[in-house]
Amino acid sequence: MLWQPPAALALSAPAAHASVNAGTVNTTNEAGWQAHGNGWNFRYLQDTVTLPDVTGNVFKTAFASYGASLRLANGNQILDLGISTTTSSGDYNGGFAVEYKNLSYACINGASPVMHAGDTVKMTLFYDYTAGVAHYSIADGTNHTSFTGTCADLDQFFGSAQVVAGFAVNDWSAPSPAVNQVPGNVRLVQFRNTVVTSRTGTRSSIGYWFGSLADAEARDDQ
Amino acid sequence: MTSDGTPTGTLLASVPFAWGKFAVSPDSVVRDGRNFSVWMPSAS
Repeated sequence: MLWQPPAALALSAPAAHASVNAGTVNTTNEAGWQAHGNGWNFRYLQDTVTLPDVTGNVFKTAFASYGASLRLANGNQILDLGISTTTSSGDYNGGFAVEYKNLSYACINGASPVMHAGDTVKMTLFYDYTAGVAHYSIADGTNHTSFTGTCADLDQFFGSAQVVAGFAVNDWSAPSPAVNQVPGNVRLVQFRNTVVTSRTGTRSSIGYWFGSLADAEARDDQ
Repeated sequence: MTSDGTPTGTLLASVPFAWGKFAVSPDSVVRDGRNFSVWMPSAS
């Protein structure tokens, strides 16, 4: 879950499943990318994001708030490291939570310094399978602030690694209100230097897109 | 998935992501380094 005053925001439930034809997973509330495959688990995610200013009218007509997240997920829970904002304030706050399918939470941490539109942040999420502890960080390279923490979450396996932008309060629920269309092509956010590591450090090469036919759309940057 | 994380299925590269680059590092990082963007749904 992504935490910020006044409105918490996070991303919605993935329709994660393996398929012989890797492709797009349609959603109504998010867009991004995930690694997933039968027998594969993941321990590390990293991305760099320059926080966009979403206080303009084009975004206000589309949504009230959104967040960019890294997730390690399984069928019961999601480790969610996110940074979110609203179209009214424009300021960003980092947040971390374990979000369970039954809509309960653990390890909630919203004690993030305010980060600003235009800042470039590096997000990392690591799950130590030996210790059963998640480590997370959002480092603001522009203002040299950071949001970090750990979470004990024993004996988990995460078969999905996801980098997404979404509009729901909880990863397992849909956004309300729904996201509206915008005129023309409007880029919300760019994820750069995406890095993922499998649990055993083995090369992986599978991916799914989220949401190309529903709300937002994720596209490869050429 | 298996309990020890051993892959049992065939790994496929989807379009447009095809993770082909493997950076040898102390952490055995699977590194793609790819950039992608999320765009808003367009009415036009």
